[in-house]
Amino acid sequence: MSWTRDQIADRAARELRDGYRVNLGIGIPTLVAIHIPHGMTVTLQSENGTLGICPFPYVGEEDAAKATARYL
Amino acid sequence: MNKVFPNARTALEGLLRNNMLIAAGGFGLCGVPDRLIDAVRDSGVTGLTIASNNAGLDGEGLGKLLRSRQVRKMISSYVGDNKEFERQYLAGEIEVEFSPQGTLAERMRAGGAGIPGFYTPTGVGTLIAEGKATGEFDGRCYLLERAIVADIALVKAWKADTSGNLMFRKTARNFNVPAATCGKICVVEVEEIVEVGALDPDHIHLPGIYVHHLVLGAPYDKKIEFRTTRLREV
Repeated sequence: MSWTRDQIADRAARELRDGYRVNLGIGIPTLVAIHIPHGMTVTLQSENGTLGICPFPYVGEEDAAKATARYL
Repeated sequence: MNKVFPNARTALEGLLRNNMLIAAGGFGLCGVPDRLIDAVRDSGVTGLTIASNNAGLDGEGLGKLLRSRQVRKMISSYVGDNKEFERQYLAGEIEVEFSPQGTLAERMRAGGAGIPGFYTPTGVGTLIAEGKATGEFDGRCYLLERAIVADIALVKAWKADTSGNLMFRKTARNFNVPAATCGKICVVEVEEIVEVGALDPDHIHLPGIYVHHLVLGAPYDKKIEFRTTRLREV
């Protein structure tokens, strides 16, 4: 059985180490943002130039001015 | 000098012509100058070359100008998620010049700063390098990339004062700042216009000297291309 997109992102997230600066490219890589191991501090950079982006918004707190490279 | 126009049509009046080069802000559907794009569509100009990170979606953003067959060429970093673009490209009806995202931003910024070209390592040894001069600096190869100076820049900002000083919100800033500076004429749509002095000078993202025409585009129905959320843990 093939992996889901989230499983791939979760596996990639396990490559991260505390203090890393991480560029998230278009597509599945942007999902890595929600699989960062608990207690780990990394700085994310999105393709369109933002630094220090955070996990996806809670339902009802979406903002059209906040976009990453796919999976806004 | 009055920069504020009553609507997008009048803000663009006398500025549009066939075969012109337009630089536009936007990333996906975020920070796209929708009112101005509508006015370009309604003007009927054709043969446009558009420098923009993306080519819009089907019928959204710059996709509106593709659908109406007004675009001859796109200068972009990414043109996916757009069936009409794909169809026109495969049919040989539209030309595309791919420019890596950072290179595209710098080409606009350089154009706005009066710099005709610059060297970048991005794209060396790839299709992007074809036909471009190279230079070696400190043992490394670089491509010579040419600046973009557009006939007109179309920009979406958050707030402006009547002098055209601009503020942007979040990632909606994206290509809007470099696009604005590289236009010989820069036309901006915003969500709110305030009097000069109402904005803190330290909070201005783009000085009004770059902005020629301004229009209030509100109210906006802000579209989100792919909505991704998370559930609150209970």
